Amino acid sequence: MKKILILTLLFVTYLANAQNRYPDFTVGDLEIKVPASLPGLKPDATNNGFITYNLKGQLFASGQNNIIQESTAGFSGKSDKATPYQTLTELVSVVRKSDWKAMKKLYVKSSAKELDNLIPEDKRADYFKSLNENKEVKVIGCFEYRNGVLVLIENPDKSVNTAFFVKDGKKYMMQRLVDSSALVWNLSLYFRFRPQPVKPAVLVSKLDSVSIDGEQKLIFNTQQGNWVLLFKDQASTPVIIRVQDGDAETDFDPSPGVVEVRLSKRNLSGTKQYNINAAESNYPVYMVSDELLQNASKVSFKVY
Amino acid sequence: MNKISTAIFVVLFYLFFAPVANAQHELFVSKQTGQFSTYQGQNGKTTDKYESGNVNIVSEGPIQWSVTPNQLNIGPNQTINWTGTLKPDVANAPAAGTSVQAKITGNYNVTFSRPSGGGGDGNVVDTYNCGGCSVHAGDPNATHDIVNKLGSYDVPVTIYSIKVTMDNDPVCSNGSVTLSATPYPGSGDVTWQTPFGQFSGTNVVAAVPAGFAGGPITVTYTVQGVSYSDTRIMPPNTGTLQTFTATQMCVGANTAVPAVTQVTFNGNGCPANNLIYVPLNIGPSAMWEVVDVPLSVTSGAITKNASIKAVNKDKVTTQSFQINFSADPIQNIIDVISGRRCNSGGSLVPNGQFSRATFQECCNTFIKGQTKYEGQMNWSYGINCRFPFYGIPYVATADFLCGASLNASLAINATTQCVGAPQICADFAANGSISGGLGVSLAAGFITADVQVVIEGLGFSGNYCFAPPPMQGKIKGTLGKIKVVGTVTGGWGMASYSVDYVLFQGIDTPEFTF
Repeated sequence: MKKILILTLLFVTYLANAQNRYPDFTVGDLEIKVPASLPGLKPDATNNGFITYNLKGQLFASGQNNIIQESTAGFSGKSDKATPYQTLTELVSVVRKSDWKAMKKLYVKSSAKELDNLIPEDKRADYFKSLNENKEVKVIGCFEYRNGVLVLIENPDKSVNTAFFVKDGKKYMMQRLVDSSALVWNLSLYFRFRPQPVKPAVLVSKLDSVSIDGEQKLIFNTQQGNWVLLFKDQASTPVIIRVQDGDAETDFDPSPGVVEVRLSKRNLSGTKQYNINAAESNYPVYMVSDELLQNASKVSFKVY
Repeated sequence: MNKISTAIFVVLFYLFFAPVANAQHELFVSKQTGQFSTYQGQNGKTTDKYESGNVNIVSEGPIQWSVTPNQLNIGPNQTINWTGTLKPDVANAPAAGTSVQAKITGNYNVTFSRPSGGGGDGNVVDTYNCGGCSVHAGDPNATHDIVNKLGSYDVPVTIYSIKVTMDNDPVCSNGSVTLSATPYPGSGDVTWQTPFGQFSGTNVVAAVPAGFAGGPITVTYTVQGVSYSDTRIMPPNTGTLQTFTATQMCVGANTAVPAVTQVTFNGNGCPANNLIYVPLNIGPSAMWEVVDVPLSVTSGAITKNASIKAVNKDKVTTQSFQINFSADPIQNIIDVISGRRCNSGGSLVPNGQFSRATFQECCNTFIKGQTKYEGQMNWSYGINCRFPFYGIPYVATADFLCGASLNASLAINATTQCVGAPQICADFAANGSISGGLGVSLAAGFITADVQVVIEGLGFSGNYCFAPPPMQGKIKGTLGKIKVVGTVTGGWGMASYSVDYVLFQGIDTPEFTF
């Protein structure tokens, strides 16, 4: 009878584990090139307009399974913690249950002690509520960092979240990370924007000379949601005007994929011939870089 | 003893002529009057039993010397008081208006005693025991030397033969005569003796009375009591009035008519009769900005007329006006920071006003419309806006809450001038401020965001030119770095990340005109 019970329990466990699914954890060489024009970058070594990071890690491509399995999708609630993703899946499970004690058990002891002080009891409900607003936990990838593995998670609002794991025996346990490095910050920014190469903006309006008291309309065709950047022919100066396609306050043409910029007296320093650079990007650029200058179209008109 | 002994040479020679011992040795002579200047001096000497000497004096050039008593030697234990004189040799002095170098030389031969072993010039001819004299603190073995010394002493002197010459023959012109002379060598006094008064100076303009009958004009140059003169005969005034004209277009203050008019005469150029001006003085009209004033002058039976404009610069027309100040630089800065999210603009509140007073001013040869600008204005500009910014990876959305203000003032109190470009400009006193706040919506699970905004310096500079037209202002602004600093904590992994995000690197705006 006892033997039958043990077999039964083993069978149930097997069935439960058999339903668990985790993103594949395979680490290889990675090279990530971050454009130096990305807003908010922390200073790091720049070469030819890019900050290049060579890492051991993993990035999920489109079509690969990178969604953390929820209990509602069959996760049993327990894993072997054999990979960071398995432990992360358990973390998501306990967070869904707002189970503070169970969550603490997923951390190494030194971090677990910090958690109570970090989030007082009366704030924990808010913490879980905030995390649980994220209905689908999507892993961007991971990379080896310090003594463990840092997993990057994409939030639905495109902001980036992180979880840090260290190996404790055969198990990956969570560890609280206190970090001020440029590497983590800059990679998080990179995956937030997933920057595409800057390209010359396509001007479709015909320009004529304009009075200083009038307005010069510049109409560009862009990819939907992209930014049009207008700037002087001088690196390391601020981008004078940046308008995102569809932004109700700055794009005067509501049509998707069309950006209309209006230049008036407050943008023009007087009556003269203007030669302005125009570029298109999928992220807001604040400062003029070499990349920007090399991938710009020219917009010329006279103000009288 | 040595110094005392050396003084013998001095006594025998140049102390005769103490003034000659100065650096500048000059004597003046007038070949015209025979007058000359001298140097005189006197001094005395008492010798001890060891002292004696003599001097032989020789001269070069037109210079003479004398000494009383005419004894150029002194023996031991003797007292002599000398008086000496130096003077030019008038007969051999150079021609008037030139100078020559001369000198006297004294060749001396003196004997004196000094303590042995002390060094010094001269030949030791004997030695004696001074018998414990005081200079050796009573040393009974101390000795003195008897010294003989030969030498000479030169005194160079410049002999000036003075002269003065009138530059022109004196002739009356327009009621006056210009008296001009050149003295040689130049130092000293120049005086003029004329039938119509005495004057001094190398250039004198003297009024000649109407009907002047002619007479001698003498200029005298005097230096150190030595004089030289030049005399010319000035012809009588016989002219009759020919023309009467104003020498300038206008007057701006009360002015004597002769000072701003000119008369000419035929004949020798000055009137045979007195000139009578009507009016004698002119000045601005209390009623009119510019008024034409008729003038006349009469000499004997002849009257001539002219006119001049009198300008009253106190008759002003005043207008008040305000300037529409440009807040473009601060809007430009906000545009660049915000990506043009603050299109609503700010409020611009002007205070104060300027006045523009226009009037006519006499600039002697022309009348110019002038403008005086006066007053002060202040402007306050405020703008508030909220715009998103990007670049913090753990933040879902972040808004920069921006308040910006610009306070500027401009004061002016200036008037255009008769000469020079009519440039009237004043610098703005401008102060700006930008305050920043954050509205942050955190990424999932991030529970604290202890971040704040750091804004570096903001400044504005510019000026406003009221003249020349058109009135125009220029202003530009500079803003330093804007940073967001702090820490965000939370997320799936309960991490803490430090934030040091440069929202804005800084900007120098272009110069805006308004």
